[in-house]
Amino acid sequence: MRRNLLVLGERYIEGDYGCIMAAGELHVDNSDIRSLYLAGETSIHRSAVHKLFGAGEVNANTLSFGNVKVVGEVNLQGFCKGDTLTITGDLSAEFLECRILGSSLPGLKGKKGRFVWGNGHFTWQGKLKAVTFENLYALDLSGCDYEFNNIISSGFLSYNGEIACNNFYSFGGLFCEGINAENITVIINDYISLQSVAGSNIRISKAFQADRLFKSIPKSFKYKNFTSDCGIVYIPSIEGDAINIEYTRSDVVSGVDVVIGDLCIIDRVEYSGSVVISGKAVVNEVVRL
Amino acid sequence: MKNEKVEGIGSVYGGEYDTISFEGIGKLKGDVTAKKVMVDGIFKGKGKITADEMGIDGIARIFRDIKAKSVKIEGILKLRRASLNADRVICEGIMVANRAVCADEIYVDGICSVSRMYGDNVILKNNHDRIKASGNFLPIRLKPFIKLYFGRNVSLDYSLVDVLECTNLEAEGIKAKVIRANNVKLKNRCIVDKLFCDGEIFIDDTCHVGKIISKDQVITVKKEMGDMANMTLVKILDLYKDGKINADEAEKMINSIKLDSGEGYTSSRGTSLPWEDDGKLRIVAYIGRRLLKKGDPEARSIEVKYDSEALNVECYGNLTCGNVKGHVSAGGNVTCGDIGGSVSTGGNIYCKNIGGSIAAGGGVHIM
Repeated sequence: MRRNLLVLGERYIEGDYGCIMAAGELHVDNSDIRSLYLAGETSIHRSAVHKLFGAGEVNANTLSFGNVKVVGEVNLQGFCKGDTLTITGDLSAEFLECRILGSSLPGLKGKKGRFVWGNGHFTWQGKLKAVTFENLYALDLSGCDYEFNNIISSGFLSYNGEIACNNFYSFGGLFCEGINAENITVIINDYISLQSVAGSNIRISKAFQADRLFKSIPKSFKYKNFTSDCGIVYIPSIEGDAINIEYTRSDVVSGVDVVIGDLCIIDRVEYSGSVVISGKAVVNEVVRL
Repeated sequence: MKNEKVEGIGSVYGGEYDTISFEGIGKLKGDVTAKKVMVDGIFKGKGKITADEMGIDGIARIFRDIKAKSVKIEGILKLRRASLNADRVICEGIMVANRAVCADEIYVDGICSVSRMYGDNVILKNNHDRIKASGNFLPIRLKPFIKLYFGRNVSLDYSLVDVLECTNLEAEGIKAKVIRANNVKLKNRCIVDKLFCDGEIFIDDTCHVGKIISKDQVITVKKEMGDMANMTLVKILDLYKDGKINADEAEKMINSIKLDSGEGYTSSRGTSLPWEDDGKLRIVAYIGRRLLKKGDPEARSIEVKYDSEALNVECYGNLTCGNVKGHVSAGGNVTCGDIGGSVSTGGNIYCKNIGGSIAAGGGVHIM
C-alpha cells in the first residue's frame, strides 16, 4: 500500500509513495512515486516518478518518469528516461531520452494552435533524444546535441546549424541555417530566416491542415487547422522530390514534381518530372533537368 | 548592262549600269540606275541613285535622293538636301542626313544624325568604340567643323534623330525630339522629348523621356533594368494589371522583393545623418532606427567614456573622459581631467582644471 504525503517545508523521502504534494524543498532518493505535485525546489535521485507536475527548480539524477510537466528550471544528471517531458523554462540534461519532449505548457498556447509571443526565450543544453519534440515558445536549441524523429514547432525555434529530423513541422518563427528532413511542412511566418530547405516532401503553405502523417505523430498538444496571415517567406534554396510551395520567394527551387503556388516569386525553377505554376506566381526561369 | 569602275579620279555620268564602283575619288554627275553601287574612296553624288544594293566603305557625299533595296554603310554617308529610301539600311559607320531616311529595316550600330527617320523595325545602337576601332572616328579637334561639314550636329555619344516614326523601335543612346512608334524599347542613356506610343514601352532607368503620349491614353510604362528584382517587379505589376492578384497580394510580393534588396531598411550607409562628414569622432545611440538627439529623455541616461585627449566634447548624457583641450558641453554629469575651455553641463562637474567659464546645473568639484 503506497502512502500519500503532504510536504510543507524541507523534507527527505525514500521509498514508494502514491501521491505527494510538496511545497518547499523536497529531496527524493530511491523512490517510486505515482504522482508528485511540486512547488519549490526538488531534487530526485535514482527514482521513478510516473506523474510530476511542478513549479520551481527540479534537479534530477538518473530519473525514470512518465508524464512530467515543469514550469521552471530543470537540471537532469545521469541518464534520464521517460515518456513525456514538458518544460516551461530552461533545461540542462546530461542525457535525456523520452517519447515526447515539449518546451511549453498548453496554457501558454494561443488560440488556433498559434504561438503567443512572450518576453525572452528558453535555452536548452545537453544531449536530448526524443521521438517527438514540440516547441511552443521561443527556444534556442543551439547548445543541444539532439536526436529528434519529429519536430513540431509552433513557437520560435532557433538553432545554429541545419535542423535535421524525419518529419518537420513549423508553424511559427524559425531561425536556422536550413532544414533537412524527409517531410517538411512550413507554415509561412514573418519570423522565418533560413537559407535552405532540403527534403523529400516539402510543403510551404499559408494554411495548415493536419494530414495523415501529422495525425500519426505522437504529440502532447492538440493542433488545430489555421491560416497564417503573414507575408511572403524568403528561402534562397529549396530542394526536394515533391515540392509544393506558396507565398514563398526563392532563388532556386529544384525538385522532381514541383508545384509553385500563389504569390510565389521564384528566380529559377528546376524540375525533372512535372511542374505546375500558379497564375498568381512570378517565375523568371523554368528549367527541365 | 555596263559596269563602271573609278579607281583613280573620275566621274560617272547618268545612265543604267550593272555595277558602279568608286575606289578613288569619284563623282556622279547624273541620275543612275544600277544593280550595285560600291563606294570605297571619296564619292560625291550629284545625281539620283537607284540601286538594288549600295555599299559605302569610304566617304560619300550625296546631294540627290537614293532609292535602294539595301544600303550598307561602313564608312561615312552624308546626305545633303537628299533622302534615303531603302528596304534595308545597315549603318556601321556614320550616317548623316538632313532630310529623311526611310526603310523597312534600319539597323544602326554606329553614329547617325538624321533629321527624320521612318521605318518599320528600327534598331539604333550607339557604338562609337566600334567606329574608333575602325579608324573612321571623328577627330575631336575637328569637332567645331563637324556641323559645318555635315550640316547637322553629330555626336559620338548619341544617335541624333529629330523625328523618328516606326513600328518597332529599339534604341540605345539616342537623342530624339519626337518618337512615334508602336513598341518602344529604350536603353542606355536615351533622351527623348516626346514619345508617342500605343504599345509597349520599355524604358531603361538611365533614359530620360520628357513626355509619353498615347492615343488610347492607356500607357504601359515598364522599366527594364539590369537586375532580376526589377524584372520580377515588372512581372508582379503585370499580374496585378491582368487582375490575377489583388492590391494586397501585389503589395506583399513587392514588399518581399524590397526587403531583400535592402529597401525598407535603412542601412547605416544610407542613413542621412544630421551632420557633415567632418572627421569628428561622434558616439551616437539609436533606439531601433531612431537616432537619439539632444533633449531626448533616453539620451540622458547614457554615459560615454572616452579614454583619450579630446578637442571639444559635446555629450547629451553623462561624460567621462580624459583631458579636453577645448570646450565641454554635456547634458548630465561631467567627469574628466583638465579642460582647456569652458564647461557647460546640466549636472555636476568633477575635473582637475578648467581654463574657461563654468555653467553647471549641479555642483562643481575641482580635484
